[in-house]
Amino acid sequence: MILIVADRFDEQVQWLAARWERHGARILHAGDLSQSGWCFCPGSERWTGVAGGEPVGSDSALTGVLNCVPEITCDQLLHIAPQDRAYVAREMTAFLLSWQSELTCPVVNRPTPQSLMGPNWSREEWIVTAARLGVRVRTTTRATHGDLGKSSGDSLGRAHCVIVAGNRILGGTAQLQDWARSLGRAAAVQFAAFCFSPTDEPEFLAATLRPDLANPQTADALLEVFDGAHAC
Amino acid sequence: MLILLWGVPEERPLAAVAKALHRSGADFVLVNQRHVLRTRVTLTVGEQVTGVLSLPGSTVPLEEVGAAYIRPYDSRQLPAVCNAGNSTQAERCAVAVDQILFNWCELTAAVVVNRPRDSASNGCKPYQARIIRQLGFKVPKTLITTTRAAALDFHEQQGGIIYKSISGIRSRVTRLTPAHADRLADVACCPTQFQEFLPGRDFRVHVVGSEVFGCEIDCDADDYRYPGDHPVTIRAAKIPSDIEERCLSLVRRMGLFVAGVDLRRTPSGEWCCFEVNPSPAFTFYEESSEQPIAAAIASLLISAAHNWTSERGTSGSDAAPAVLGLDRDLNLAPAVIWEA
Repeated sequence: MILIVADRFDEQVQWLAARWERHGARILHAGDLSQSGWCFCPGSERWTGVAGGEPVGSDSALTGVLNCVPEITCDQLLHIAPQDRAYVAREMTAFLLSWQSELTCPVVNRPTPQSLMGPNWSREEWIVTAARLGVRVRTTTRATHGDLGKSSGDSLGRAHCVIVAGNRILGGTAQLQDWARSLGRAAAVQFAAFCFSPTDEPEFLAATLRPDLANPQTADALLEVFDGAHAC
Repeated sequence: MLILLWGVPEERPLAAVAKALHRSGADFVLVNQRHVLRTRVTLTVGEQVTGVLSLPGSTVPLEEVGAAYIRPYDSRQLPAVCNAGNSTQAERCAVAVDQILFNWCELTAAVVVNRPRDSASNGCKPYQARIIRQLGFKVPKTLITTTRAAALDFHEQQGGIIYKSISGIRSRVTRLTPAHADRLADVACCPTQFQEFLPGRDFRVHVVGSEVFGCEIDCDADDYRYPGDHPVTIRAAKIPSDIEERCLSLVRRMGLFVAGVDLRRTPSGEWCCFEVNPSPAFTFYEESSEQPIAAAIASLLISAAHNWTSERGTSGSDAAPAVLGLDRDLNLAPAVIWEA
């Protein structure tokens, strides 16, 4: 079984879950965390829960978790009283971090205290990391005045994007693939897209931990991470 | 050398550190959040991280800041921003200031007390408890559940349990009693954290660099921060050296320079650790215990800023561009205690 932690109305996630159906993929959404059935004792390997409205647990041969949301948000909690949504969202997010941190099967990406999808780095943090790794970068400036809070630099519309999905690197030249691999390792992520300027001497521009999921190549590459993994 | 403080000036820990820096004759800049709409920041990153912070009456090159003590609130909550309404230019400006300064805190090589990413584990108590357990402290047995029957079973197994938030949202630690029976079915709406109740005496240990300040708290309430009619007595206490060492290791492991560690000594003499607070409201304890915690934080900042200056081969006076005077810019009038 593979659990995809996501917004239940996310169409890319629905496409992915359908493609992985025969691998037992199931979407785990905020509504599932409002169902009786979750029991988790930190430090213990045994747990029970609910995904897609059905019981799951440490007996379910879970082979992996794919995180597709950085956090639970109020708009995923329409079944909760409005005045309680902000609190419940924070509690559910913290619960998912705690529970997933103790899973021994592959979790892509491993959540951090800042985001369920991995390191919640700003564009500036990615650029500084890239520069330290020897990747050519485009200097960027962010200012409070003028174009408020927005970074300078190229639009990503025409950028060359290289996807890291488990052990596979998709797209780009050999050099861009090397850079993407280094960036993925530095950030300890298994799923990310790294964008470079479409120039003769490409420069790193930005990264995202939520590349397009509705892509057969990406889906198959990700599946390799979970296929054959030890269940937890 | 240059030290930067960021927050609301009358907030007590920030005011206490500012006062201690002033007494030490150290130069510092206060980024007063109440002036957020008159604050401008530019951050440029590439091979280098540089930036300029423009405050009312002064300009600070960010690369000259060698140490920072940060206790910012969400600027959108400030009266000047709230009064301007949602989605206004004022709110966008306030959010941009927060974002850029947080970015700088993550990227600068200066000592930041504490860096946001290192503070983040406090946003999930069981996640943090895992680190605490790895460092050798006892942590309470914990159940997180959406199942009423599981909570009742846990209660029966443990003899007595408390419940509290999982996330960093502050909640009152409360013992589960028969009076909760009707509400217990509500756990189905949201995973809820229950812990075994451990009797004993509470201690708060403040770690500042390599210094340790222990306090003993005498109170009969379940949560001494909400004592109700129960009297609270706080006094300085000597902590066993092995426990001190464990606190130091824990705080270092988390990458923190300053932290408040919540401990309880059980009747059998075992030391249990509940939480590590990366933004401790230490003045609540300092006022009773008379421990020089603010002075220790100031010393740590001064030392870090000196190191920063000497590593770059510039004299302190040359490196410090614009400095705000304490008397002119700080309102040190007593304010309510804002626990982080």
